[in-house]
Amino acid sequence: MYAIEMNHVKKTYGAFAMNDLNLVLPMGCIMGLVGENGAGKTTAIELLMHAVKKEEGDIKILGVDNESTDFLQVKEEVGVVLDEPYFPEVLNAVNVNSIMKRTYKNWKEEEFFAYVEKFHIDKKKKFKDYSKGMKMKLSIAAALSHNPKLLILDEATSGLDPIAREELLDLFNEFTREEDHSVLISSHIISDLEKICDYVAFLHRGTLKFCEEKDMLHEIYGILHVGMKEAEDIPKEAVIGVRDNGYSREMLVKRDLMPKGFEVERAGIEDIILYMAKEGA
Amino acid sequence: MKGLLLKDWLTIQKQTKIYFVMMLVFLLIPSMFWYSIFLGSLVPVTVFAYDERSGWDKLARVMPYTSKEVVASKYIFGYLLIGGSAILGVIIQYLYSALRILPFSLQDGWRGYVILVCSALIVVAVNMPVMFWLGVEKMRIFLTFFSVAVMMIVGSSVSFELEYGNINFSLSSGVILAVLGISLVLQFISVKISEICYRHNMK
Repeated sequence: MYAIEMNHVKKTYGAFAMNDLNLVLPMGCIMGLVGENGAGKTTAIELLMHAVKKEEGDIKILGVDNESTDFLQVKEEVGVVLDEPYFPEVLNAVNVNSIMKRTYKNWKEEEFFAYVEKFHIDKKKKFKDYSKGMKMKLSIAAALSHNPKLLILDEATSGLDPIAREELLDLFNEFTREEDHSVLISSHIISDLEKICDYVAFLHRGTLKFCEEKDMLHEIYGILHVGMKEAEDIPKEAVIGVRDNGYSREMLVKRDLMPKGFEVERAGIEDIILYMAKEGA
Repeated sequence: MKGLLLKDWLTIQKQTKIYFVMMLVFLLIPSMFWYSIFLGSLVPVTVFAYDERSGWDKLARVMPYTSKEVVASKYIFGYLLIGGSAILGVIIQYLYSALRILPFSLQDGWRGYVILVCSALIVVAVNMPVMFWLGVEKMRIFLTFFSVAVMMIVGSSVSFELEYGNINFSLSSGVILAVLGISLVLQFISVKISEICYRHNMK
């Protein structure tokens, strides 16, 4: 069983179109969802939670169709952090606990307050007086405190300082130690995703450019530095993207299509994404 | 649904204490306590506005709540405030009567209470689908205009017998029961329309 299955999902908003989105997250894994602003990351997450309607395709969460009546039960097992922490601004952490206790059957009050303590959140302070980082941490504490099997996090680490981000990434890693626990996390901070993700999915202007195991990406793609003349010997089908500096060329290439004799370096996830986004622009 | 009701209560109680102060003040003034019942019907509009501002409505869609529960919670919240005001109004009138400030008898005054509660329920029944359809921001003028219009119509039809502490409507019991029936049917229709609007707003 997969934690997330999206098959041929289509959604349009005016000029924006998400076409044929196919995404599969195996249980026990962490997937990073990457893409520029407006690429469709938030839409994909809203589609997963059936907060917006898909036009075509199938979506299953923890093995259950998200349009079926059983999905309500599945929502109990999904911790969601949206792109903004949407709690009413006059509430505090104690109020959030009281509301969530009456919302989720599996709500763990002690666990919630343990996270509140761990994240140094002032329990009595109103939500509007929190920093953006604190608001996100409270949302994450709430998402983790009802015994979820799947965490869906939309830009959950943005607005946090590097130390807090590191702390949260460790927490998400810890969460997936249990084999039926999975995480889907969207972020602009690719270095964070590179640290924790097993899979990376790249959305560009509503189109899924790839959804691949992180290690496979390193095996498939590489960076090649060549002179302008040498560059002409590279088969076109091997070249994904080119950066020209006038004297030499840097290329993102597919390793298996490269002729022998060229020294192909390791490509970071950020390199792969930047080259692909540039070529797809 | 208890979580949704608690969220509404905590939000409104912390954000607009003035609402409750006003409701209490109106309840204590014999000729004005009926305003309090109407204020109860307007509180859900304010809750809606805060939900829109904080984005809670987006969060609620990813929580384990059905569309029915989300819609029903707003109606129930309105009913609780209207009912609570009406009951508190009766208790205060009885207290005045016990303290010999104003005589009061529910047996004589029930018609007035039924009409007031029904009018407030009609305000809820009309406002709710509009809010679920287009939101408070876009419809603020309509919501205010409609609610004030109903209050004015009721206010102009009411004649206070201050010496008895009761509200009189020159309507027969049959007509009053018919108004009660109509307002209850309206609630049912309104809830159904609100559910459709809420689901339709899932973009």
